[in-house]
Amino acid sequence: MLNVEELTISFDTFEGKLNVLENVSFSINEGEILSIVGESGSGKSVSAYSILRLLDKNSKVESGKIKFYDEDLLKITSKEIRKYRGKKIGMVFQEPMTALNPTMKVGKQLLNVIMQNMDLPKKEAYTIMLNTLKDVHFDNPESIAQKYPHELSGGMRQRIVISLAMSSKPKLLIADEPTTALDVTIQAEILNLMKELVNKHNTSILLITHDISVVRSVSDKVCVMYGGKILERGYTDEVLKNPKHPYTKALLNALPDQVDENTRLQEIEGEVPDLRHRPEGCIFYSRCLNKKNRCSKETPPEIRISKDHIFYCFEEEM
Amino acid sequence: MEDILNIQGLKKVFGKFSALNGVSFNLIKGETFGLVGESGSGKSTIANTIIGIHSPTEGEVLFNGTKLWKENKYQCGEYGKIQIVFQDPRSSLDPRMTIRKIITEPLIPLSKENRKDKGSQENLIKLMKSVGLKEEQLDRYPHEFSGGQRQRIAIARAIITDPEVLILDEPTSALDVSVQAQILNLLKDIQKEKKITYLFISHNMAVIKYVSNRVGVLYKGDFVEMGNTKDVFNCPKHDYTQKLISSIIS
Repeated sequence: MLNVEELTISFDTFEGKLNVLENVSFSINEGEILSIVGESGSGKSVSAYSILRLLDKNSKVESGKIKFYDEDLLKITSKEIRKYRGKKIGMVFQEPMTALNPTMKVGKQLLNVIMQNMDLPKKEAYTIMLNTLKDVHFDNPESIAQKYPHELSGGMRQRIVISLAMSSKPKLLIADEPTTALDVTIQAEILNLMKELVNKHNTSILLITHDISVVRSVSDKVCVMYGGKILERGYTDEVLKNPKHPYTKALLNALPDQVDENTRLQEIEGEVPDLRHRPEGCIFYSRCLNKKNRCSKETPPEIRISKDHIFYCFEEEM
Repeated sequence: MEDILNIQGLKKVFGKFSALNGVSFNLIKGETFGLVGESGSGKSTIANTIIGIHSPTEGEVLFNGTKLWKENKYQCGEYGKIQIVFQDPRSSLDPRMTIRKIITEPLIPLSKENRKDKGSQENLIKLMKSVGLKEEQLDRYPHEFSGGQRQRIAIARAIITDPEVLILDEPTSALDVSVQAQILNLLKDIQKEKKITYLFISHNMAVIKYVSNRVGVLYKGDFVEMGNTKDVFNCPKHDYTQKLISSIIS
């Protein structure tokens, strides 16, 4: 349903143009959860925002396509893209307190969105609102609708935001770090809720996260991003059990989850590269443990392990 | 085994809200005690009481046997023996100070000899090296550093006074995973070398499991479980602990 092909996006900055995304491709099928995982500055949020064209004016699409069913979202006018925002494609942001209006009761916010998106009179919108609130496990939707955001806990607020996004039954839900601002115990609840919604309404989800345990618990497929490029992608089980790219391996080894307290964590030396001076060749070169001479000069080729498991590296020489 | 820090019946009330309902625990010399709990559970209130930011409503904080709080006044005796590293190194370093100034600031209340000795160029170079930074970075400003490097600076600032207790308040939660590993390794190295006792506060169960010898689980201002890390993780007794632990494997 969603097909992002060879997307390159640049930002115009005081220090010149810099490519924040380079040749990013991924696709989502109906009813699928795809995670994009990466560290800060890897371009994971930019890829998500670019789909609904929510990027700032200083950004420019250099090349590529974003196909949503048969329509290229990059070619249509800004008036037409509004028909997608919130209706066919919903969005959940990281911080539920800033995503909601603090001066308006949550019921009214929901009603406004539903009336606007679905073009319904208030009465019908109200029934839909109650149903969407029930969908996100509020047992007494009437009383929740009468509350202001500050009267709700972080997890409840995030459920409201999810119900906002789901109210018009979008085909695709983009969730940008939906659980990062929440406590760990509530995180599991929200993730389960999102999974449930996928099953119930056959919605697809594009999940942006930096947390590999989140990826592991919910997503069908995963893309590992670094410095504006996808380094590895495939089915979650395959990629996490049998990581191929040195970065994916290092990232999994750097987690304290699996090791006992006496083994040293494997560090990834150095820092995320400065995109103003994007290195030639492989983006991970400076921090890679298996680097070879040619890695610094040539762009690593695509290697296909199985139908969907792909990574970019000069692996055969290692 | 000797207690270095002893907290007895610590209670803290903010207005009508009771942040801590009388918690007691101790830090044994040389260990790492992990403090876990979600937001609002009182983790940081404990830290703030120990370093003198909040006065306790009730209860005692004993450091090497002497009371830190006497009639709402903080008296830490010798300065610099309890130090802290805060969560977000972007906001805990003064943007207008050079790294040299930031790192040597805790020396100000020390005695003259001590100040000279610990603040000497030679010692500073050694210190910078020990946290993985370079000598020539001493005269730079915080904005020139990445998040991980800034947390290294915050660590250098904390250990310059040779503290006995170091409080780490979510030291890696603002950092990327790859950098988190660097900082956790660094903290372990420092502990091995200097034998500092750590109070490690975090909401990340995997990190706590990795760093701490003992762990206390805080929930709404009370400990619901406390014990050796292995015991707590292998057979958690309290429902809430079980819920927290299931959050890592999920």
